[in-house]
Amino acid sequence: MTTGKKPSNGLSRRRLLRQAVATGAGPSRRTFIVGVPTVTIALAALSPIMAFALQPPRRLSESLPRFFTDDERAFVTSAVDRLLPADELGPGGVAANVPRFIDSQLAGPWGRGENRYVAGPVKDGPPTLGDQAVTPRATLYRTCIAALRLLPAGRSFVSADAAARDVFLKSLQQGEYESDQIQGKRFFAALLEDTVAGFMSDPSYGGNAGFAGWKLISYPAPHYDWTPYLKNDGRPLAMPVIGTFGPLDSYGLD
Amino acid sequence: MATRKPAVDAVICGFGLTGALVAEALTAQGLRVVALERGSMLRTSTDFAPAIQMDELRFQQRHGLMVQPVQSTQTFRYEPSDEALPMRDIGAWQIGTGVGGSAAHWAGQAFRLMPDEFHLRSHMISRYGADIFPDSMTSQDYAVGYEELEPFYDRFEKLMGVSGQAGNLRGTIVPGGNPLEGPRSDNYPNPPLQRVKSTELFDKTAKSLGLHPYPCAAAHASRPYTNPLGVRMGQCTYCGFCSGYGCGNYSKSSPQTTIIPVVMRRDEFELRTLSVVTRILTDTMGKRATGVEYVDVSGATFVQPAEMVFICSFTLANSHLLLVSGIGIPYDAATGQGVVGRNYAFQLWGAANFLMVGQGYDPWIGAGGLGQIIDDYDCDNFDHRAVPGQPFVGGGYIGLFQYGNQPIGSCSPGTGKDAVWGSALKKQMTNYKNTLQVQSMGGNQSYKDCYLSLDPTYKDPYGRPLLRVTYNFKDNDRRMSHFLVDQCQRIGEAMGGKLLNRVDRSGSFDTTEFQTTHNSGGAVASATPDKGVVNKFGQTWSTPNVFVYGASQFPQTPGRNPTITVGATTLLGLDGIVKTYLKSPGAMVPG
Repeated sequence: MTTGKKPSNGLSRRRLLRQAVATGAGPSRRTFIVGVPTVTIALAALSPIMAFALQPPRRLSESLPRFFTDDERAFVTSAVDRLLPADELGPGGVAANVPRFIDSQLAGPWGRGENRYVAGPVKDGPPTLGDQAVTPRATLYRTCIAALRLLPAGRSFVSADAAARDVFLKSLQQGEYESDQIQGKRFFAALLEDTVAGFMSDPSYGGNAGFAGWKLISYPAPHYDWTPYLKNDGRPLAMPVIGTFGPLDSYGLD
Repeated sequence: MATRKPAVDAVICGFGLTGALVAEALTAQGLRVVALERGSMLRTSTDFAPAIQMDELRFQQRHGLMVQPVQSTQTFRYEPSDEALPMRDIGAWQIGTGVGGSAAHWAGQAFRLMPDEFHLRSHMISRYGADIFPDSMTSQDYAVGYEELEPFYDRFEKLMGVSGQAGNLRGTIVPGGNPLEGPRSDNYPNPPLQRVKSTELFDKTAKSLGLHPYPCAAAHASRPYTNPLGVRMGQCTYCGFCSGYGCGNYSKSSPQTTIIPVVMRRDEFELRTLSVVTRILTDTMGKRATGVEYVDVSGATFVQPAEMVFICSFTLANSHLLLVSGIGIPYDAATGQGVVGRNYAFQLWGAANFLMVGQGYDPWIGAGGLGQIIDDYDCDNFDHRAVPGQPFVGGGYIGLFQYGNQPIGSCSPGTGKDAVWGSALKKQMTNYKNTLQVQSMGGNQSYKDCYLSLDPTYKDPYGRPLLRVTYNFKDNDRRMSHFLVDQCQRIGEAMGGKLLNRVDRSGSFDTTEFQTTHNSGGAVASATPDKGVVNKFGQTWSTPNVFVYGASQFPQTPGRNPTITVGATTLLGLDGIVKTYLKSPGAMVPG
């Protein structure tokens, strides 16, 4: 996707404008105020619609909260790259920005487990009575990645080739790394579940970039009214994919 | 120190479907009514707008409209001798919170029960002999019969704007409807939803097998509709965001779209949200309720005095409130004595999933009630002696629904060691457009050792014991589930499907796997005080100014969805209250 490429050197005109009109909290607010006259002058000669087209919104993912350290992000990215690889069917989880989705989900109340019942006593039970651990999901990621990175296979995971990473993930899934520090099966299940959610949720959450997940399955995005299509009978739909924020460009340049 | 509020005629605990019905009926009589709701106000215009609700991650995956375990949950165990553990996450069922309750996020499948269902036990014994009921099975007849309930079914369907096709109009079989249903006094207020390719295929195949398919009655307006209260509904747009979501188009029947706009305009009515009823208060003899105690969002405690108390929460919370308030005698599984918490039952949802090679559907198009159904295997519509193996009690509908399948849920990799990932998962995901599911909603019998009680260990945020669920699937119900899924498989294969997998209930109940929200019992409506908590009017046998509504009245779980019967039984109770109780308060049925 051409809009997905960042300028390789220097600052493009688009990027200049984007910085000047960046909105949001923190330092960018100052930029915004200072930048207004310049942008106004720069765009004054253009029609309103053209000016709008030249000011694509800033990258959405920049405004999402973060949880991962650099090491954690690298680990999760290497895993997502195998859980949903780029292949002949199209882009994989990394190109769809899934690691960024997981990062922001873990940084929020859901990642902190604020919705769960965590009162004690904490006891083990059969899996069919549910996860009894009161550790929040974000902590599960942090402790498991840290402990796995102490193992030889975990230490080399990020730099390993695809086949070696597959072997490592399979072992994790099959419970071969379980220990007091590593709830490997639970971590693998969380990672896989979150990867699918990031690939298939609305891009406003940071993943499914370029609607990669929805395009894979020919999902046309939520629509308010399907009445005209009740007799479509499964034929391909000739319509652009439109998410909660609108068409692809409305999601910024991710 | 609790702040005492001015006394009112009636206080309602929980402002979902039954609470809204109670508020409407009593304020219409000029009574002063206060409703207390633990959750927030939820409006169609601002909370259910399509741009907000069409978000699978927030609402379906993260349960945006459900009560979170941190606020309210249950403990669970399989046997009375086990130690129960808390359900720390939302799993097997999804219970709503906020105005509208679970009737705001329900799918909208609008079934009446079969006439035989109301006297299941006596009917089955008369046809098959008493041996078909194991000693441990405590299923019993309902407190009302189909004929007595029919006028209230009719009223409720018109209130909800249900879309469907009558199959039996005053005894005459009508083509296109369900020929096996009980006689109806009138057709549905709206015609059925339009069919799609998948439901047409089920219809055609079921007919070719000699079965009797009909369009599921749906609580979605198939055309613009004004209900008897004057509330207008919009025509369903088949957006596919029903189960788990609020409807932003005023199409799905919910308290918001059918009742609440009227009640909120009445001077006699007051709604207090973010107010959790912690217990029902009784006089020193315990024979009469004096009102309720509740806690608001700031943590302040209030007393709301009232002449009548209505428990209108979800099934599980109804029993919980009775138990923590000491209303009625708690059920004792060891002796079989006591009533509160007795005859708790769940439901045995099952399915067979098929790959339709070379076919394509539009799975994003749908509505919660858009489906074709057969009742050939529900209730006693088939000879239970003719089933392979040992006969069982019960049955359920089988059908194909096009709900509107959202992408995350449709692309599940499975769980545990068998979960699929890598390129294999991506390939599996691409089956999204050519996978169909034939499903069954199997009923669930009640048993001596399946019940609700208070947990001795775990507490809720208000210091009350959590509700403890003691439950597992039993052999009778597992056999029924297996039989129903066999029929699903047979139909799906006749549709040309290649079987991908079956979901039937051969093992233990799994609290982590969403199945259905249809919990029943615990505060059963019974003909005599030893078999239930309330009489057919919903009035508690023990405390005649306390009333309990909901599927908690069901003595076992039917093989179909409960909501329409919940509405009809509530309207029947309110009709009795208006005609009898308000004129002469006291026990409406001699105990």
